[in-house]
Amino acid sequence: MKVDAGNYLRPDQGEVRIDAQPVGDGGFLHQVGYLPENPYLYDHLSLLELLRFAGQACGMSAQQIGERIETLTHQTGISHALKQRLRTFSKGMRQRAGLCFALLHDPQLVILDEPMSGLDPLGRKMVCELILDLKHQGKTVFFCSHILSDTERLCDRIAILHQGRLVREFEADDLRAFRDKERSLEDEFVAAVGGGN
Amino acid sequence: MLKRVGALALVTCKEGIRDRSLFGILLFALFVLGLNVAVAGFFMRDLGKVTVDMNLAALSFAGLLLPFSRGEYIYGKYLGLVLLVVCTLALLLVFSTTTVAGVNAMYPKYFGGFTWSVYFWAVAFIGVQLALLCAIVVFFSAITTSSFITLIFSVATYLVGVSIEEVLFYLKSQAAAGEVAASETLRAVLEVVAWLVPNFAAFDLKTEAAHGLALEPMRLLTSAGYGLGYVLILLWLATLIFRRREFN
Repeated sequence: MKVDAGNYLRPDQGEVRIDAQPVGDGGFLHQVGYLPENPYLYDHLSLLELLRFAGQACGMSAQQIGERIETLTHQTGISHALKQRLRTFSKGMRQRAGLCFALLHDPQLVILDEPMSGLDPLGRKMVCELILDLKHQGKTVFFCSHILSDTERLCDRIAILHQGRLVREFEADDLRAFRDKERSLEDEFVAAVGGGN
Repeated sequence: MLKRVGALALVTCKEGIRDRSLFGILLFALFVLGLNVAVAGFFMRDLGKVTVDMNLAALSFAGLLLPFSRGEYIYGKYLGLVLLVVCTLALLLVFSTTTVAGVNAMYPKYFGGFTWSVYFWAVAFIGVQLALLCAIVVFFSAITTSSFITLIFSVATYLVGVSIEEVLFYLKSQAAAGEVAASETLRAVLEVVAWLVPNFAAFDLKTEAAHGLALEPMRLLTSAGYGLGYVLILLWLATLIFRRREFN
């Protein structure tokens, strides 16, 4: 994920391309929204200041920034905290703020590292709806999660990574079988990682 | 690009201003200022500490989640730090100027050769010195992820920078008196080293300010050029290194 999101890490071998562009310092970064597992946000800024900064950094106009802030903070349920400083935010609110930060510039590719982390059931429901909404808008959402029920519900393709290696991939037919309860993703997962050994 | 770098600089500065530790240092500085009329020397000591402390906020990587290139990121962070230092310096300047003016009014006979223009030139060069210190902090932050190591290296470089001129002076005077044997080669090497490490003495106009001595335009120009050149080289190197950095 860190290779894809903007070359935070370099691959040991091979090359990562997004829209035929090699990952690096290039303009493709404007098309990517990234939420790390533990995002560092500017603690002394208010949410409004943070999001305005994100918009300015992406070259958006003041009007676009205002509209996106309104939409996203309503969608994530933190519009009441716009003037609050980020250091006062709970883990769940930080996660919501991080989502707004990653999505403000309306990217085509959204990379989310454990987006449900630290969220209560309502928060998890909100993230699921947000991901489905992005999917319906035709965006590509690439996320990792340990919550199998969420991945089963949201994804068109699932890959299982174990000890840094890709061990299984599931496509449309597999996912249909999971949803129809003919097979279980949990069982497949346990089998793929060797029964937890 | 400039707009984006400007946005990052402003956010860095704002974050720094709101950092409570900065206010603590500023309050302490103002307290000491009340007791101290040796303004220029005082400025450098305490603002140096502020700048190095600000390293902790300097390269927090939230901005990297946005579409900044690594180079833009380094320049944005650097400008933010400089902006923060300029704000702090401006605030301290108000208090120090009031103090100097007050003492000047009370004891005018001690301020015989004093002129405000030399005083403000000295302050401006403290600004150049701090801008260089900010570049050193950014450079070391680009090399290491550990803020402690950055702090140690920056402080060490600063200490070498402020004392190298005195070491040279000592060596020359002792050699002239025949007390130490310093070969021509050693002295030549030290002269070069004195300009390779950031020579902070080049920006020190305290003596001129305190005694109201005339300033030579050529000296001001050379010192400013040296400072600017040093900053640009450090930022260029920081960008090169930062481009190769990986973030786990």
